[in-house]
Amino acid sequence: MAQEKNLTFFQALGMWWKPRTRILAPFFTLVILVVFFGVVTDTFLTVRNIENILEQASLLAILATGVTMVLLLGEIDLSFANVATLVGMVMSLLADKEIGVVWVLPACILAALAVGFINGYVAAYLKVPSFMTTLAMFQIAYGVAHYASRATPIFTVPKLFSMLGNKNLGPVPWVLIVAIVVMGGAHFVLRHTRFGRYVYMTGGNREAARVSGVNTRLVMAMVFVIGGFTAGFGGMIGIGRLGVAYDNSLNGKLIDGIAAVVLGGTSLSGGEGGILNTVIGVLLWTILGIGLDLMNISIYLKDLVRGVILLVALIFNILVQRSVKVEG
Amino acid sequence: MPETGESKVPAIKMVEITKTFGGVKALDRVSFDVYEGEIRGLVGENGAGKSTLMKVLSGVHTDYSGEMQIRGKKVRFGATSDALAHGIGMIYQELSVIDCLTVAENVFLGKQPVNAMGVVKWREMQQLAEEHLKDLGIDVNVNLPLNLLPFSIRQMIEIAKVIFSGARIIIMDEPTSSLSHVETDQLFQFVTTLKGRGHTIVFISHLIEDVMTISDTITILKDGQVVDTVENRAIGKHDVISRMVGVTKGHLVREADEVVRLRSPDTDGVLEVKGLTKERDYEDVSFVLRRGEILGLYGPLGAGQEDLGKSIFGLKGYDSGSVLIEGRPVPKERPSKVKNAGIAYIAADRKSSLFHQFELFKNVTLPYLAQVIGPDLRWILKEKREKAITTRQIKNFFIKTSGPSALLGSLSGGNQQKVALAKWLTVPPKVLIFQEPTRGVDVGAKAEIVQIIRKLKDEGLSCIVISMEPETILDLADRVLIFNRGRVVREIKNTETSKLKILEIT
Repeated sequence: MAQEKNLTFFQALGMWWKPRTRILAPFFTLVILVVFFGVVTDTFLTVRNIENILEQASLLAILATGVTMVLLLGEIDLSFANVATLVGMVMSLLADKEIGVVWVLPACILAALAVGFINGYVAAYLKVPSFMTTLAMFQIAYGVAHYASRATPIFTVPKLFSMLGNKNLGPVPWVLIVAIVVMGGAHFVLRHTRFGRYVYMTGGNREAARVSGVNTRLVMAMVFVIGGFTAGFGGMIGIGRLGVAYDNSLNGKLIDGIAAVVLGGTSLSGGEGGILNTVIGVLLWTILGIGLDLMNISIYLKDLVRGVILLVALIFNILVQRSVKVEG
Repeated sequence: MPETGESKVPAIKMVEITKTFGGVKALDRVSFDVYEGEIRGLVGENGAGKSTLMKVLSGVHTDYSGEMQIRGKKVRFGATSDALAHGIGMIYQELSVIDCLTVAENVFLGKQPVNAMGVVKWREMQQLAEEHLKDLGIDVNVNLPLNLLPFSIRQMIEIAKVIFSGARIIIMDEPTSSLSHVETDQLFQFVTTLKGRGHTIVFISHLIEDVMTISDTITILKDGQVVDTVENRAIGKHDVISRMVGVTKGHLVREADEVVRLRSPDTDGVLEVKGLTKERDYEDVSFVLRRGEILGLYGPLGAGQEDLGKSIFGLKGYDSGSVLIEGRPVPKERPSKVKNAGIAYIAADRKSSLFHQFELFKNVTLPYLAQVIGPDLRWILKEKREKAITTRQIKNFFIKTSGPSALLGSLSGGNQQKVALAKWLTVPPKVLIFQEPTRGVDVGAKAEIVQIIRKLKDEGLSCIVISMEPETILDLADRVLIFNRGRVVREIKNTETSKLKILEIT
């Protein structure tokens, strides 16, 4: 205690850094990545490219919002990308039958909530591990989309979602605005509502939350319902952006979504992290993809490079956080 | 100093050991000698340096100043394996045996006898394990997985394993704190056998009673220094405790035959338990808890009282019977609803009821979060209000901390226990259930917790205190139900009783 006044610069820096490692480590990784791509390519730091990054990141951000909450709870959702595809497909099928968007929108939202509720009910109340529950839902969502479309693309998309996916409001892409609203809402819920507190406490120590009289099963079920909502809504915008619904249009977002959330620093075991982390994680993952595209690397090599970089980044984050914990 | 060792070389000789943690002296020039075949009790409040001293001895802490000799040989350990090579083994409170493996596999863990192909020789392993355990007086089927055996047997097997690895000096950290009376006796018999075989034992415990039952000599530590080392028969329990606390803090010690007068109030019932039964846990338990009463549920480990407490709060189910609060049924298996019906539950295990990585105020406000941030907009967090209430609780419960935003993990065990209590009293409940409220806390904090619970009772709260320690029950209860094998075997009320009498019933 008596030493507190005579801290060296590095001790003071350490004291400032330690409690914030979980957000600062990914943030500095992001800065390094931006500088790196800015230096090695001519096109990275152009307005056109930055707009492209923001648009791609926005769609991923909407999908990753639910994933963030599920991970904060110490659970996993493997189904969100396929659910996104499914709900987008439902939207296209309904629009194809010339049903107005006033009916399509609530029907799709309802479908998304229903899928989330099934995930949540089975995982929280029937206590099937969420890994298996959502893996089954992964298959079911794809199966339904596959069957409903008979594996043929549906080319009809409601104008509203085509606009949200592709158009700008002035200079700002609509999809960015939607992402900011969704993530802002989720951030508010997590940090400023009682439900959000319950999510963090339940994720931090489920047994302790239960012994403290928190209805942990309800919290978990609700988180999966929210996950279903963001997956479905993201799916509608994603399909709106593409203008066509295949039965696997967005399935590839599974890796992207989980990678982004974890790279952002949200703990896989629950209780630590949040939406701000995911904002950084989503930017990191998107920039990595686009940056590599700009770098004249063989297109066949890109996935491998991204995978290796993901692994290295995860190891790095864990090491940094562990070093902080041991000293603290 | 024990006379027996005057002429011999001590098994352990620690000279002027000093160990600091970030500028704070945990041990301050501690000298500590133990002779071959001696059972040494090591007592002191939390933070007195007991564990630190033993961690130096067992090679966990390597950066200390001072000198150590084992059987006259100067040593300096770089790791726990060095200590074990010199015959020193430490048994922690949390056992390191593996529950799903058999007794034999555990005894031989990491050094199974193998043939030339590297295949385990099961027969030989079983035989050797059996012989080895029988040799130590442990009679057990070595082919059983450990999780089928009682905790006390698992503990003995862990000790046997360490001895089998060559340990001659055994350090036990709080070995009896989760054992029942009978199990403790069993362990002590075992320890006496070890002593007879020439093993040297260091016995660390909060339970002064146990230390005084088993030890030949007792070393009292206080604030990182040795207060004294005395022969067990030359000192009484009261003296030991008052010397380790420094001052006599009133009502701390109870002799085995000290008489306590129980007196229960004649008020109306608040909580009624009717014929509650859960197979294999407890059977046909009925009682009425009165307003402003502390009802003690006493029983040895596994007698059912602990499970009953969990069932009332909804953490566990039950097969038949009912629980009523003020005449209305209490929901089954729904802690969140039981809480709202007015029942609070203070768990025995702080680890599973508190959040070490979160701030103090988040811990304190969690159970009644809606009420704390209400009544307007009960769904929006108001950290200012949460912190104000936490600050109030810090004062009311004498919690030592830097403030409501301190991380819970930065508090000492006794203060965490107070937080476990304070978090249930931000809004007054009707009934409080305490599971082992004084387990694992030092004597000073224990006295404070007893005081707090008594004060709550005086304010009209009704409490159920569940404990395996007769001490705790007698300190608190107005009326006692004694459990044995899942049944209430005796109700003690409006009469005189003592620890001996309670122990005799079970």
